[in-house]
This record gives sequence, C-alpha cells and structure tokens, in this order.
Amino acid sequence: MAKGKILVVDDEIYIVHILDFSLGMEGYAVVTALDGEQALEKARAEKPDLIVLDIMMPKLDGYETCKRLKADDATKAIPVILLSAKGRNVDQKVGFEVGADDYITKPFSPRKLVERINAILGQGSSQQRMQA
Amino acid sequence: MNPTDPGTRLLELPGEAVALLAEAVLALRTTCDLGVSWGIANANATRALGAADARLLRMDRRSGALFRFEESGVETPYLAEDGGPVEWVMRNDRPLYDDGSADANAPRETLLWQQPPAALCTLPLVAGNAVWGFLLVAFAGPRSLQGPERRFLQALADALALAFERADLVRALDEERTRVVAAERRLATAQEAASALMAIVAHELRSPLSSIKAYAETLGSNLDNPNAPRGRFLNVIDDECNRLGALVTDVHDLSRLESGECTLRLTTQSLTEFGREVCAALADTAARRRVTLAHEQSGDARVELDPDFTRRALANLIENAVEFSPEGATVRVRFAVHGDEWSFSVTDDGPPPPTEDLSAVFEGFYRARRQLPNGQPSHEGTRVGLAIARSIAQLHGGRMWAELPPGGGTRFSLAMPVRQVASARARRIARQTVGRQDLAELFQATVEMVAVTLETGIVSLVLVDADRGDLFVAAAVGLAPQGVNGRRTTLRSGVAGAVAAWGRPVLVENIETDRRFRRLNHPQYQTKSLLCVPLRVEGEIIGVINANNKTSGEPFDEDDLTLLVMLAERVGSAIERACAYPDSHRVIEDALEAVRCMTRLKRELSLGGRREVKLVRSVARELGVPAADVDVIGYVASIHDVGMVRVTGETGDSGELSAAQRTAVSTHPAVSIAILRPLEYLGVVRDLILSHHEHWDGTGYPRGLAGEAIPLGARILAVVDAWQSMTFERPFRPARDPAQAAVELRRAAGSQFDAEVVEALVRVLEREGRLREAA
Repeated sequence: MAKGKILVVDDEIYIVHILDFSLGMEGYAVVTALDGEQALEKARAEKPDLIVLDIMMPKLDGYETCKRLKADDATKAIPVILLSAKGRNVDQKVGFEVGADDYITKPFSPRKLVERINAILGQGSSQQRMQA
Repeated sequence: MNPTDPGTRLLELPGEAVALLAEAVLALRTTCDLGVSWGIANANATRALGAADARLLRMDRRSGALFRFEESGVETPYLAEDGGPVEWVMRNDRPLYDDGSADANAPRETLLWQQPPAALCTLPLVAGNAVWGFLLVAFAGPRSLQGPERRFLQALADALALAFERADLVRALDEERTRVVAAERRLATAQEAASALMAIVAHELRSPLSSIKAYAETLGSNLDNPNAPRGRFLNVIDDECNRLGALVTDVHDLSRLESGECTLRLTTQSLTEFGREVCAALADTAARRRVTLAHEQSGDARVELDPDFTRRALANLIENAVEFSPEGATVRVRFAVHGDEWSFSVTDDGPPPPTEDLSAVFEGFYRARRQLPNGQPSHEGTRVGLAIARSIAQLHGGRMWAELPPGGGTRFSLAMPVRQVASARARRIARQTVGRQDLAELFQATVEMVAVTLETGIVSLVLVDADRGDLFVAAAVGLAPQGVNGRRTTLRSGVAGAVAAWGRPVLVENIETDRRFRRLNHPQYQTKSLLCVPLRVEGEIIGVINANNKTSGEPFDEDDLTLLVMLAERVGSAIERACAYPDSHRVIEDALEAVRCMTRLKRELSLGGRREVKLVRSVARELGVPAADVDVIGYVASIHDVGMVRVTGETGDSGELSAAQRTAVSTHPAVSIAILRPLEYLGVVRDLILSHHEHWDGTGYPRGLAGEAIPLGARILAVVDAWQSMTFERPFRPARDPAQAAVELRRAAGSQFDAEVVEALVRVLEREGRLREAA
C-alpha cells in the first residue's frame, strides 16, 4: 500500500524520471505531467496527495498552474511544492502569493525534497518507520 | 603713387572703406552660412578697392586639395596654376601683391576669371597655425595697393580664415556629438544584451546542473540497491555533462559574436551550391528523426559570406525546425535572391509557439516554451542556438525574424546582403585608384619608404577591391616574388582583412600568442611581430599598409605604430589629391618625389633613424607633451631633414663647410618644406621643420627666432639632433663619448639650446643607462 500519491510536473524529462524513481523508492505512487495543462487535468483526475510543480514550463507556467489549482475547489486542498531554477527572493514571494505551500530551487537534492514531502504529508521516512 | 589712379579712392574715402570692412567682418562673424558671408565680403571688398572680381579658394586640410568656393556654398575642385600666384603663396605663407607692372602675361590663375586680370592680390587665409584657403582679388587694370589697402585685405583674409576655422570646428563638434551619442547608445545596448545574456546563461546552466546533481545524489544513496537503474543514471549524467559543455561553448561563441570580436572570412559563392551543401550536411540529422528536408531554390547569385559562420547559422535554424517537427513531417528550406539581398527560410510542421513568444524567440527561453511533438523533450543542441544564428546574420549586416505562416508551423527567416563591403563612395574611390600607373608607382615608392623608415624587411600595401570585396597586393618589398603583386585574399581574412574591415591600426607583438589574430598565423611572419594600419581616402578605407620582420629582430612598439599611422595618413592625402585632380600628372609626381626623398634620406644619409625618433618621443613625454603632439613631433623627427637630400651633394666629407656650403645647408629646412609640401598640410609640422635650427638666444636660422617663440617640438629636435650627431660615428670624425657629449650639450644650454630640454634629454639618457659607462 502506497504512502500516498504524488503528481510530478516538469518539462525536463530527466527530472521527472529521477523524481519518479526517488519517490517510488520512498513508497509513494507517482503520476507525471510535462506541462501545466496536463498537470491541471491529472490533478483533477488522479486526486494526488501532493503536487511537485516546476515553474518554467511550456503552455502554462508553474505560477499560473498553481493559481488555477488553488482556485479550483476540487484541487485547492492539495499541497503544492514549487520547483524552479529561479532562485531569487522575489520569485519565492510570488510563489507563496499564488498559494504554494513550499518552494525548492534547482539544482536540488532529491533526498531533501522527499524530506519536505514527508513533513508536509505528516509521514516519517521509510527508515524511521522501520525503526519505529 | 599717381593721384589720378582710381585705386586711390580708398585713401580719399577711409570712412566708407572702414564701414564696408566692418560690415564684411560682422557678416563673417555672425553668419553661420559661409556662402552668404563670402557673398557679403566679396561685394564689399570689390567695392571698397574698386576691384573687378574676387575669388575664394578653400584648401582641404588633410589632402591640400583646392576648391573654388561659390557664394551658393557649392565647391568645385581647382588646381593651382603651375608657377602661379597661389602656388607661390602656398609655398611662402605670405600674401602676393602683383600690381601688373611686371608682365601682362604673368600667371594669374586664368581659369578662375571670365576676364584675365591685369593685377591680382593673393592672400593666404591663416588661422590656428593652418592655411584654410586663399583670397584672390582681381583688377581690370594695373593696380598697386598701399599700406592701408593691404591692411584692409589682410583684415578681410583673417576674418575669412576665422570663419573657415569656425565652420570646421562646428562640423568637428557635430561629428563628435554624433559619435558620442552613437557610442553611448551602443554601450547601453551592449550592457542590456550582456545582462540579458547572463540571465539566460544562469538559467540554462541550472537545468543540466539540476539533473546532474539529482542523479549523482540518487546514485550515491543507491549504490547497493539492485533495483536502481544505476547504468541509466550514469548515462543521464554523461548526457547532461555533454549538454553543459555544448552550452558553455555556445555561450562563449555568442558573447564573442555579440561583442564584435569575431571577424568574417568572406568568400564569394554560388547561393545554389551553398544551399545544396548546407541541406546535404543536415540530411542525416533529419533522417534520424524521420523528418524530410525539402530544399527549394528561387534564383541564384554569387553571394559574399563567411561560409563557416553562415553554415552554422543555417544549421542551427534547420536543426531547430527538425527538432520541433513530428515524425514523418517535412521541413521546408528555401533560398531566394531579391535584389541586393538573399534570404533563407525554414518552415517546420511542429505545433506553433504562443504568438506573443515570437519576439522573445531569440532570447534563449524559446525552446522551453514550446511543446515538443509526442511530449518528448530533447536535449540536443542548446537554447542559445537561435541567438547565435541571429548574431551571425547581424555580423553580415543582415537580420533574422520568426513568423507563423498561414499554412501552419513556424517559419524562421534570415536575410543578408549579397555583397558585404563598400559604400558607393568607397567603390567610386576604388575605381579611381585601381589601374592607375602613376598611383602604382606611388604605392611602390611608399612601401620602400616605409621599409627604410621603420627598418623592416617586409612591407606591403594591400588595396580593397570594393567591387569584388577582396584584397589584393598593390605593392610590396621583401615578399617572395612569385605572384605577390595582384595576389588576392578575402576581405576580413588575416590581419590585413581585419584592419580593412574595422579600420583600426593594429600592433601585434607576437602573432603566435596574440589573442585576436593567433589563428591567422602565416609562414611569412618570420619575426612574429607586425604592424598593420588602414589607408584612408576621404575617410573611406581603401586598403592597408602591413609591415613586419623588423631588421633588428625586435617586436614593434607603439612608437613604430604611430609613425606608420602618420606616414599612412600622408600617403592617403596624396592619393586623395590625385583623385581630386585626375588629369594632372604634377600632383602625383610631386608626391612621388616627396616619398622618394624620404627614402633617400634614410638610405643615403642615415638621418632621422628609428633611434632618433624614439629619443625625441621620450624627451617630449619627459617634458609632459600631450600624446597627440608627441606623435607629431616623432613623425617630424623622422622626416625633418629631408631637405638635406638636395643639399648633400654640395657638402664634402671633411666636416668643414665652405661659406657656400654653409649657405646651402642653412636653406635645408626650407627645402625640406618644399619637398614635403605635396604630403604635408599640417601647419604645425611645417613650423617644426622650419624651426629646428633656431637657437634659444636667437642666433640660429632661418628666421632668428628666440626662446619660447621657437616651437617646443623644434627645440627638442635641435637638442636630440645634436646629441645624435655627436655620439654617432661619421666618416670624417669618431663618435664622442656619451658623457662628454652631455657635458657639451649642457655647456650650450641657454645659448644654442633650451636648458629644460637638455635636462630632460639627460634624464631620459640616464634612465636608459646610456650615460653610465662614462660616468
């Protein structure tokens, strides 16, 4: 039984693959999207527990996607972690203004991302659970 | 003075004459329109003096060419009559009052007048140490001008000279203002472009770095995990490292392109063949993605371009189109010629980008915003590829744009001029210079003169063929004879090409290590150090003068460079004059004689050698002379004794001069000026040459100037000349010991020499260790 379902959205296929692997190893079920429009569709259809969302994307960028997710009753409760190459403070501010729950800049550590996801979803890591 | 002479009217009516003069001077002072000013001055002068007519000749300061200046402001070229009054005034720098008593058939610049004048006044227009032109006042009958009348004309001439000078300053100021504004705009654009580029680069670098970091970390924590696809992780890291490397290369190239550091190597090719070649080279890439390349050609022309750069620009655009096309699609490539331009366009079948992105298409994020077919992102190439293509188009004087054609897909287009160089003016000048036998002689004499002046083995004069857009060797010394003359190279290939294209003089200390030209190394560069300066006519670059292989084996320095720049300017002005008077052989013969005398000066008399030039420049710098004046003084040091070429036949080897020889020697400054006149229109150069035998106490020649009335440059030349002649061995006497020579210079300080200059020379010599041995 999976710990939860994560939607990973990024136009960089390599990033999608590695997050799929890392989150899968952690015991999450992963669904992926390559742009904002796909992300909105899958968020409604798959009802993920959390969304990892890249900002620089084709069609609909991460900010706009996040705004729409938060405006939709069906998806507004889903926590969103923004993921972007933009690292300046002003972007972080915009990120929280559009309703993101957390923010991670690229290049990022997959392990730390998993820790943040665990914290938000109130889950211990797989090791902690095994020790418990 | 005959009281019935109509010319005495002025003396009888001083009030009216003064009023007319005042009116004329006021007009010249207050009116910016020179034509109008001249009209008023002309009318008043002829009326006040009872003259038949008056003419104004303007002299171009750079070339010395004369122009008849009309009241309408129109100028027509005029060649001074051989042995006529203008030539006399030009040589003597003072007015000539020909009262008509001597000879009815004396030369009076006949071509300027409807009726040949019976008497003629010719005045130089002198202001700011330069001659700006000549005022000629003609009389219908014999006419002798008296003191007040001469002063009247002199005042008018001065006012005209000042008006010319002012017009020139206004023009120079305007040019300077335009230049500054343009420079500021370029700087601002460059800064914006640089920061935009930095932002793109930072973003682009983070993308592959993110992958590398994520995969490396995951690999590290899954070393013992048999389920982790570790081989694939490593492949991804390897892929992303390649992408990072390609990106760094592209960014470096882009910054070089945008900063103008890249020079084109132009060749002329058939557009059809070039297009076919480009498409053939990319057929495999397209086939791998199952995309068809359709090549269409509309019209053909011989186009001038840098094949490597252009190929890269087109390849970037085609690869981009291929990448965004779904499998089985067709990418349409089209080459076309429209008038002076050729164009290239590539249309893909891919999903179009949002329209608002078209303007930002070249800013680097373009790919990030475009959906790939099958949702598959690709990592081929880098996102700065389009920006590189645009920079290459701009470097060729072309442009690039993107559009959404009605049939779907996206189209990238690029247009570049068929021909790369040469304004219409440059072509006109080139047509005038190419193929003229007298100019060919001047070019050959020039390279010989430059070779002895700079003491170098190889000198070549290369001209731009504006019609063909390439360079050819017009004259050379020291190059292997086979096929040197007329040998052609592409414009902007090699150092000569770069100088011809960019117009800046270049000093290369070592061709093998020089950042700019390292790749342009050529076996002929035996000493690895070279000079290359542009040759300009009417401000247009018509070619370059190259010098390399210095006899001493040392590298060239800034002193050599400025000297060559000065010499090239003189040669340019001689060519300019030759073009202004295409039918006169005398103009070019005079220039040729001047250049040949400069060669003989070095060859036969070993005067004005490189060491003397260097020493003069050092002393001038020591005295705090501004850099531009140091250059002029250094140039004069190289040529100021050219008059000795004519005098020397009369001097013996004994060292003792007869009275007659002494007189001959004392005229050599004036002879020098006469020889150099066809090349030299800078008043300051003439002043220095004329004054370098004046003594501080006023006992020198030819004018008997004293103290600071002698130009500083001439005082420096006098001291360094004396030092050189004392310390160098001559056939008739041994060289003197340096320390002893210094003592003698000091003894003559205050009488023959300026004491401050002597001390400056001693300081320079001490610093260079040249006095130590004897101290």
